[in-house]
Amino acid sequence: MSVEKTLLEHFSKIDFPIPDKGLTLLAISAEGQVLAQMGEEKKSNELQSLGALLAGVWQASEALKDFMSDEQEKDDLKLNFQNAHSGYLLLPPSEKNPKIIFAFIFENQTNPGKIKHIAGKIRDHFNSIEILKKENGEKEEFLFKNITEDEVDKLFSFAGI
Amino acid sequence: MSFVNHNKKEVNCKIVYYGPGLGGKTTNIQYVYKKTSGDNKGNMIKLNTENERTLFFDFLPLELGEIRGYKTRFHLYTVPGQVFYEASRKLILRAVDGLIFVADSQLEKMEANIESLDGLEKNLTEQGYDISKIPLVFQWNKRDLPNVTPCEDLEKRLNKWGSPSYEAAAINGDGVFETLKEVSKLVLMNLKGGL
Ligand SMILES: Nc1nc2c(ncn2[C@@H]2O[C@H](COP(=O)(O)OP(=O)(O)OP(=O)(O)O)[C@@H](O)[C@H]2O)c(=O)[nH]1
Ligand SMILES: [Mg+2]
Repeated sequence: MSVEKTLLEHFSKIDFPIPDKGLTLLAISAEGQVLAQMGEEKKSNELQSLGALLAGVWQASEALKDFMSDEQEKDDLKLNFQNAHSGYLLLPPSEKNPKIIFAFIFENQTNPGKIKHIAGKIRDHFNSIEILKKENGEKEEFLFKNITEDEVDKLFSFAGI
Repeated sequence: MSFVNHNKKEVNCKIVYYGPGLGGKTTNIQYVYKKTSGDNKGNMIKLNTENERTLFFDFLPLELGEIRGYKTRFHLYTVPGQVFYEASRKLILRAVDGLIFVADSQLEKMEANIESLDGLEKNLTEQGYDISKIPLVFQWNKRDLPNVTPCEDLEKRLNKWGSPSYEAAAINGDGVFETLKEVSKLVLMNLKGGL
C-alpha cells in the first residue's frame, strides 16, 4: 500500500473528525515532500510550497535546538505560529516515525484549542505505529535505465522551453 | 531524497544550486521561473534580505511532464552564498539529488569559488555523500563580463571530478537551461526506486 493511502487510513481512525473547511492536516517528509493531506484541500502547487517552507521552518528549529542545554526540555517540542483564530502548528517527528512532520494549517477557527486537541490525538496515534517501513529490496533498482537525450529534451519542451 | 510514488506514478527530485555569494544562483532559477509557462509554473519562493541576497533559500517547484509514464517534478533550491550562512546551507543540502555549482567567472572571485566548493565538499561528506558520486554540474557564470578567468583555468581549479560544465550568462538566460537539463538527466539516470 502506498504511504499516502496508509496515512489517510490512519487519519480516518482518529476519533475526532477533521473538518473539511478551515483546517488542513499535512503529513510532510523531513525533506519537504507532502505525503498526504486531509481536511480543506490545498492545490498541488500550493502543496509544493507549503512542504518546502514548513520543512524549512522545522529544520531551522531543529538546528536551533542544538543551542539548548537542557536535554529533557528538548523532547516534545511543538512549533506554533498563530493568532487567536488562524495559524499553523507543527508536530515533531516521533521515534516511530522519525521522518514525518505533521502540520496543521488553520483559518477562522472560533476555538483553536480544538486544533491542539486533534494534534494531541494524532501524536498519540502515530507514536505507536510505524509508517515508512522500507519495502524489502524493492528500492534498489534504477527506475529509468538508459534514459536518452531525447527523452530529457521532451521533458523540457513540455515546460514551454 | 528523491521521492517515487508508484501508485500515483510521480517522481520528485531535489536539485540545489550552490556557489559563492552573488554568483548568480537566484538569477538562474528566476530565469527558469520566467520561462516556464502555465501549468508547469509553481510558485517561486524567495527568502531573502532587503537587498535581495538569499537569506535561507529560494524554492521553485517545476513540473516537467512525463517520462516513461511517470509525472516528473523537480524541486529547485538555491543556498545563500554569503559565508556566514553556513548553517543554512547545510540544511538545504539535506536529501539532495543533484547539484549545480554556479561559479562566478570574474577573475577576483576565484578564491570565493574555491572556498565555496571546499565548503560544499565538506558539508556533503558530513551528511554521508560522496561529491564524486552525486550528480554534479558546473556552471561558469557571468561570461558576459570582460574580466573573466578562462574556462580551462576554471576547469583545472574547480572541476576536479571531470563533471559536465557549461558556460553561462544567467542574467540573459544563456546556459541556464543547458545546465539544468544536464543535471536533470544525471539525476533521472541515478534515480533508484525500481519497479
Ligand atoms: N553580468 C552578469 N551579472 C549577473 C549574472 N548572473 C547574475 N548576475 C548579477 O549578480 C548579482 C547577484 O546575483 P544573484 O543571483 O542574486 O546571486 P546569488 O548567487 O543568488 O547570491 P546570494 O543569494 O548572496 O548567494 C545580481 O546583481 C545579478 O543580476 C551574469 O551572468 N552576468
Ligand atoms: Mg541568492
